[in-house]
Amino acid sequence: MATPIIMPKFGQMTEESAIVEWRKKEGDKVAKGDILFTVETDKSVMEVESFEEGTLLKIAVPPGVNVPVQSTVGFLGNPGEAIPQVTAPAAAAKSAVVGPLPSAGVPVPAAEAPSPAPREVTRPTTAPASVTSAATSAPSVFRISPRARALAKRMVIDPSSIKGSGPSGRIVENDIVAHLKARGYDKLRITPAAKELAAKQSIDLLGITPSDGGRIAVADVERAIAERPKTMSKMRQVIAQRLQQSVVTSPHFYVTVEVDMTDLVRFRSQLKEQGAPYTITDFIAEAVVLALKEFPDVNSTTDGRTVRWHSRVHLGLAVSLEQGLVVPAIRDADQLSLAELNQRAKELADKARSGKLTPDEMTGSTFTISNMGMLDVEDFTAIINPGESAILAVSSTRKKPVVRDDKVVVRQIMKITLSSDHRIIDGAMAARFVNAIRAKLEDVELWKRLAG
Amino acid sequence: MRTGTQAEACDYKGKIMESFDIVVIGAGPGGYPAAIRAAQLGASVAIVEREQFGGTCLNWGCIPTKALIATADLYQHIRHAEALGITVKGASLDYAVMIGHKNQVVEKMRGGVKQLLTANGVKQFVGTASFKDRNTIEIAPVAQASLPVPGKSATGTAACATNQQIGAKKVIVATGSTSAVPGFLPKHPRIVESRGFLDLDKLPESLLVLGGGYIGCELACMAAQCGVKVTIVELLEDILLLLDPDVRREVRGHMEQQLGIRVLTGKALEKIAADDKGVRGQCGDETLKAQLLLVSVGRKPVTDGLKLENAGLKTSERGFIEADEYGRTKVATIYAIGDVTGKTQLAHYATAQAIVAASNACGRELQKHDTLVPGVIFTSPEVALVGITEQDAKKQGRTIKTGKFRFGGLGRAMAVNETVGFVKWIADEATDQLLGAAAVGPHATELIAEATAAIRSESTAAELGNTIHAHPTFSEVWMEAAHALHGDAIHAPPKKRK
Amino acid sequence: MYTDTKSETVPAEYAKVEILQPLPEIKRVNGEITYKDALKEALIEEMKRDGRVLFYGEDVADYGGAFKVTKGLLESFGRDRVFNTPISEACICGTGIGLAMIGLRPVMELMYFDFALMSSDQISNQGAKWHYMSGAQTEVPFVLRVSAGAGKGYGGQHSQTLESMFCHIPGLYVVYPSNPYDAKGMLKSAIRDNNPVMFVESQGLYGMKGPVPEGEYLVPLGVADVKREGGDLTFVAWGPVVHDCLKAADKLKADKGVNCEVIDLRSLVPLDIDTVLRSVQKTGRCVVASQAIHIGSYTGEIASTIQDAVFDYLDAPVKRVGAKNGIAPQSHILEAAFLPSVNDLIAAANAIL
Repeated sequence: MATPIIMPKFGQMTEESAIVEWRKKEGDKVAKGDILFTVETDKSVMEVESFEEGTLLKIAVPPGVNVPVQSTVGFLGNPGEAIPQVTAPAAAAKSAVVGPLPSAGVPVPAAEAPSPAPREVTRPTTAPASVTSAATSAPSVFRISPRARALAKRMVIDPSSIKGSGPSGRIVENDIVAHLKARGYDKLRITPAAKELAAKQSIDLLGITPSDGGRIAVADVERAIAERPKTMSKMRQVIAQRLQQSVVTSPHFYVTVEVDMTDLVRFRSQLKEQGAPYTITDFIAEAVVLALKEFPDVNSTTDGRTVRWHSRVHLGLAVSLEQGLVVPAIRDADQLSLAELNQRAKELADKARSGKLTPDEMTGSTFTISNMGMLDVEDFTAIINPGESAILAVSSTRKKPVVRDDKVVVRQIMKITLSSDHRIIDGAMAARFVNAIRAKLEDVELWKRLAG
Repeated sequence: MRTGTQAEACDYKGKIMESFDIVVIGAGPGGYPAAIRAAQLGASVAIVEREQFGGTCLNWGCIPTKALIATADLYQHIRHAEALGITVKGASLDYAVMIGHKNQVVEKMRGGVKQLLTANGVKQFVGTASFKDRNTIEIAPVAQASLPVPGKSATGTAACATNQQIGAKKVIVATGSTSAVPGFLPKHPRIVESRGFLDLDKLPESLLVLGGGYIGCELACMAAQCGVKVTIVELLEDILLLLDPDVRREVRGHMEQQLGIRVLTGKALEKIAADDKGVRGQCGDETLKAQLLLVSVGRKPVTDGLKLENAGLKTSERGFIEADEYGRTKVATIYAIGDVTGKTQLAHYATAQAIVAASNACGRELQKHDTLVPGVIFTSPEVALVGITEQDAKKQGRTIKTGKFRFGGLGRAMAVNETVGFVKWIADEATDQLLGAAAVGPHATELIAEATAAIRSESTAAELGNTIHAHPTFSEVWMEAAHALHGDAIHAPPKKRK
Repeated sequence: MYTDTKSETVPAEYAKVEILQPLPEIKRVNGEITYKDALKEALIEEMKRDGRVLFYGEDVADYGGAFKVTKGLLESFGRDRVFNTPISEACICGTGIGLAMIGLRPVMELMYFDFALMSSDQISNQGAKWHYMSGAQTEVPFVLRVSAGAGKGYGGQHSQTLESMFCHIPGLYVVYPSNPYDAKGMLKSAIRDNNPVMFVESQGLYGMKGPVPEGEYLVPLGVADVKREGGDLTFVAWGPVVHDCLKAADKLKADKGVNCEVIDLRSLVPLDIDTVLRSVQKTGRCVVASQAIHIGSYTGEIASTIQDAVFDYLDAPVKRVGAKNGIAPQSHILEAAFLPSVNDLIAAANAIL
């Protein structure tokens, strides 16, 4: 019998995924290691390879359909082998917040399917009790007679908002006629091309404001089409959810300090000339890691009742990609040297940009740095990554006049702002923590030791 | 005994009637497009024609008159070309050749129609169609005497020898119209209607035209341009009453002054008599004489021989088969289109009705035919109109504004020395929407297409004025007239400020 | 399956018909006669026109028919052409089919529609099929008059309206006129048609008076008649229910200002569906009604065809009205409740207006 091809579970908390693209067609030969299809997960697009060789006998799930993880999406085997019945995957349930509770009803395939062993990932337990439901609302039940529907279609209007006078609220022809009259449809002037376009794109003509001399023209319809709500990608929906959750759950407060980066910047250029290119981010990362060792509360998570300290520092470096924000994490950053930190940061950044981050690389940070220094900003505040207690916003380094020894001098100043979860971090600690970072950054001798 | 011999018993063909989804009666500009459209939509189609494929338009109407008018116009141009540097001495007209050209055009087009029908799989029958019942058409052979070649139908195909019956799920009646010839007129070769006129092999020296409608006027102009002395007698107060007074004045003025046609209006022609010397009639206290009398007082619907009552249909008082805007008659399976329905009697309107009726008859989503019908009159100068006229607006109590521009103000017109006439826009006073247009002058019959398209898509005068028209062309006249409607035409002096 | 031919000309040897006694007179009052006299007149005219036409059934000759439709015919045409039969519907129909196949044109009468089932084999397996199964070598031109006793309190075995069952037999025409004018015209057309025709009559309508012209006229089979025009709702009916629909239309107009179109189908096979569809395209609402029992009624066939053909023109579901699913009671009160009434039609219309 043919072997089922299973939708893998990317990440401990992933419950459903959609195939973006099948790389093989039915009937194609598949070798071990060949990419069968790609999957959009909460965070990125993953390639799924075949662990066996054979012929792709059947594609059971087309692209774009959300299916529960571990469900069968196709069959591999020898040509002519029997293919068992696959019940169509249930429509995607309202996606719960990516929280700690796995869904009880995840279907387990009958045959043993190769899948990556789930990793033990310590997951923060700050998921709130309430489950925010998905953005889409179910369409209301809507009854309309064929004659009325045909009339609405001919007139290119949307009948769904009309109150029906027929039985069970059915919209009948007279309702459409009355609606058209009430809305002054006969006074509308519409160019033939605009009407055609509106009909094809199902735009309600009554909802368009004419601009071209009181007449609805193609440009008006195109505007209406552009203004239509479009569903966000899964990734963006999850980012939106998480950020909202963070702000709602953690009481944020912000502390800003100015860091004099003049010496460090000079030192960095020297290192670069010597063939040891470090980025400012590397130094900041190291400074943060060192500071976190001194302030364990900042490397903790709370749910308002309990606090969990993380023994290791997994440093998150926020990366803004076109499809959304990702936070790859440098695991055990506290164990790495500056050079190793630099290398790992570069690796992750590259992987992030080429979409090759693994799910485990994208989660698990205990503290995040959001660096907008390259974007020419004076200062900004960041939103805490859910599951963490604080986040550091790094702004641009600019020459500024400052007072040193009662004299005004020009120095390279960089503002950093710490957003803290006030449930566990209080003002004083935040101030001291952020000043500790500043102190380290301003101590060029420290860097000479670490980079040497 | 019912069961006959073995041989008789096995003869199914005689007992099974050929049956079609759609049977079209009449193969004129209504009938043949209906047949072709139905065939395009997948129906099995038969078409029955008792005279000539192509109907009046192709054989005795639009096409032949245009062929003759082409020569007449050209002759006119040649004789007045000195201003442009051409002097032609001794240009003469050979009517026989003109007729030969006309016949050639007609024959070619007729053949073309039949080819199109054949190519679309439409079965063609020659004979007179009548209803046996609403779903059965009886086809009677055309009388042998009336065939040009005995044994062969007018169309050249073998005529039906005996009566035939065919079955029809739906029938489209497109039997058209014919010249109305008042009964009091004597029957004489010198008294002809338009069809008879086109059969002449030479032009008369003088012509009396009874009726100043567009057919009479077109033929009058054609004859006058060919050197015939023409008098038009119209009973009503003016010729071409469907036109607004200003348009009428323009064309009538030219007909009278440039073409030398005598136009008598508000007068009846009585005591009409004809003999081998000529025709004459009494018009008031004047006796009018000519070599030939052309009767063009209107057209009546053709329904004789159809036996409509067998189908449960009746004609109206004036003899028309009433049909709604979907082409449907009172009987669910019978459609009627074109001149026979009494709607505006124009070939292109028949075609528009035909295509919609065929689609409806084939069960497609019900469609109404368009009602914006341009009218074109090939007088000299040409006249064309579409939409409402000022007269219509007045009758409807509609407030309108108008904009006019004379061809004389156009560079192109001056360049080719054709500066007669003007165009006029009629627009809604409040919304500026274009509702009607009229053109009298060079290429009016072509220019009207732009007006038709503009009116149909509910353009405003402002929009039309803003539409860039190529220069120098005749079409600019519409743009200028649209500007004139707002009082800001560039190429006309401003109206006196109050 | 069906032949297109009709008996338009009568063969010379049958055109001259011997009339033994003066034909029965049918008096008109204001141009009107009863439904049953209209049938009689039709029979007389056709028997006079064509010597091949015979008429027979139970008690139709001397007695003039159980409902006195054919009193006087025996005396005028003689027992060769008008005669009685044993009480055997199978015999009546079977012989009729044989007569038709050898060239005569029999009109048979079954006293009650219910008894048609006794000659099911003859009607369905023989009469309807021999034209087709002989490869058109033979035609079977008979007219089978059946009389529906519904509404007369005759009880279960004498009240059925069974046209739906016979509409289901290809090869057979089924017609059901609702008024004297149609009755006469259609009986004449049926006799001249070369197809086997089941001609359904309503005993409840026998006494109905209506205008019938004196001259020769025919009402074609397969053509529906719009008895009343209207743009809001279409009633499609046949037989006695047509009159109920007209009454319902009156009431709906008076009470609600609703304009109903009433189509009398007249012919069930062949079915003039085009007239029905055209009407529904106009009104968007339809009620199909018949006296037959609702379940399995031909109204279902029509309703189904309507929603299939012009679905997009419907503003509401197609409603059906028929007798309740039961065995006709003998009690008048119960039977009235059992049969469809004007109120049932109004209720059905209201449900979709």
